[in-house]
Amino acid sequence: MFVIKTVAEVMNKEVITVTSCISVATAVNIMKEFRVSGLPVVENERLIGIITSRDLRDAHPNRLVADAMTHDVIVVRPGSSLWEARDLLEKNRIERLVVVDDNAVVGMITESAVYAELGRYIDPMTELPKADCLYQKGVELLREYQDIAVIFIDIDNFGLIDKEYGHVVGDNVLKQLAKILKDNIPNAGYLCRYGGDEFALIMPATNDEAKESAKLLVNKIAKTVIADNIRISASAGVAGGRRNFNKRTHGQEINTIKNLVNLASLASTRAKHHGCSVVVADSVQLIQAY
Amino acid sequence: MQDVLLIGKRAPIGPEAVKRMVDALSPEQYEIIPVDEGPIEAVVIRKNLLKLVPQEKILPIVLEEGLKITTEATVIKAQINVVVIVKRQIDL
Repeated sequence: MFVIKTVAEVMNKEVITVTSCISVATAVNIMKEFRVSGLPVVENERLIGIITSRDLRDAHPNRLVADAMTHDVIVVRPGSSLWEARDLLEKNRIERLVVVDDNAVVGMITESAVYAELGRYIDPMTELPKADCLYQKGVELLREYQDIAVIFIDIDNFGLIDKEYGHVVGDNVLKQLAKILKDNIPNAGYLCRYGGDEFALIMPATNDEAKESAKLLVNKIAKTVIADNIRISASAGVAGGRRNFNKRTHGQEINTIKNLVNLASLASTRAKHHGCSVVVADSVQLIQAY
Repeated sequence: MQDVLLIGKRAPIGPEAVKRMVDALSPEQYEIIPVDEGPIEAVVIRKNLLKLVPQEKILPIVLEEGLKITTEATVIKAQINVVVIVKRQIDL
C-alpha cells in the first residue's frame, strides 16, 4: 500500500552474523571475506549487539567480540518506511541499520541503499520531493488521525516566461520559487514539486488554516523579485476535509489523498480563471481506517 | 587469578572474556565491576575481599593505586592483603 518502498523491499536479506565468543581477529577476517563493514552479533537467534569496522579500530585482535561490540544496536522494523530509516541513520550518525522482526535479525540496510532509493523520489532541479512522497505523507497524517489539507500552487503564465526569457531562466524561476515556498511553509507542512510549474503542500490543518497559509505563500511569491528582475504571480487551490471513520476503507487512504490533490488542483485553476489568488474547494469527507 | 584484575580498555582480554573464564574456572568467586576511569575498563575482584571491605571502600583505593601504573593495553594483576588485628581482653 506504501507509495515509497519499505525497508523490507530495499534491505539486504542475506545477513552474515557472528556469535559473541569469536575473536576480533576472526570477525575482521569474516568482514574481509564477505566485504561487509558490520556484523550483527546473535546469541540463541536473538540480536545482542553489532560489531562494526569502527568498533574494530580500537580493539585488540585477541579480544572476544563480546568485549568489542556495540551493545545498543539501532534497529528498524521491516515494515518501516525509508524515511524512518533515513531519520534513524541521520539522528544516530551511523552507516547501517539492522532490520529486526521480533528481535530476530531479518536483514541489514545501509545508508547508501536508503539514499539511493530515496533519491528516486527527489526532483533534481528544485531538490524538493516528488508527488509520490506527498501522497505517502498524506497517508501517514491520515493514519495519525490528523485533519489534513492540500494547497496546490500553480505559477500564472509560466509558459510566457519560458517563451520570453528562455528555458534556462524559466528553470531558475522554478528553483527560486521552490526556495521561497520552502522558506515560508508552515512548520508541519510538507512540500513537493508536483510537476512542471506546479507545487503542492500537504499539512495537518483545517480548510480555513490552509487557506490562510495559501494566501501568505501567494503574497510572498507576488512580493519577491525573482532572477533577471522577473516578477511572477501564482494561484492556489485548497482542499481539505473531515475524517470519516470507516473500517472497510482501510488501505484506501491513498485514493483520498489523490482526490484531495485533484480538488485542490481544480480549485487553483478556478482561482486563475477568476483572477483571485486562492480558491477553497468544497469540504470533503476523508476516509480513515481505525 | 589474583585478588584483583585491572583491565585496560585496549587490553588483549576484555571483561566479558574474563567473566567467562572465571565463571568456568572459579564460578561465583569473582565480581566484575565495569568502570570508566581513565584507561581502565573494568575491575575484577575476589568476592571474599568484598565481604571484608565493602566495594565502595575498596574500589576507590584500587583505582587510585591502579591508575598510577595501568595503561589502556595492560591487564594488571594485583594482590590485596587485608590485615585484621583482633584485640581481646581477658581476665587472668
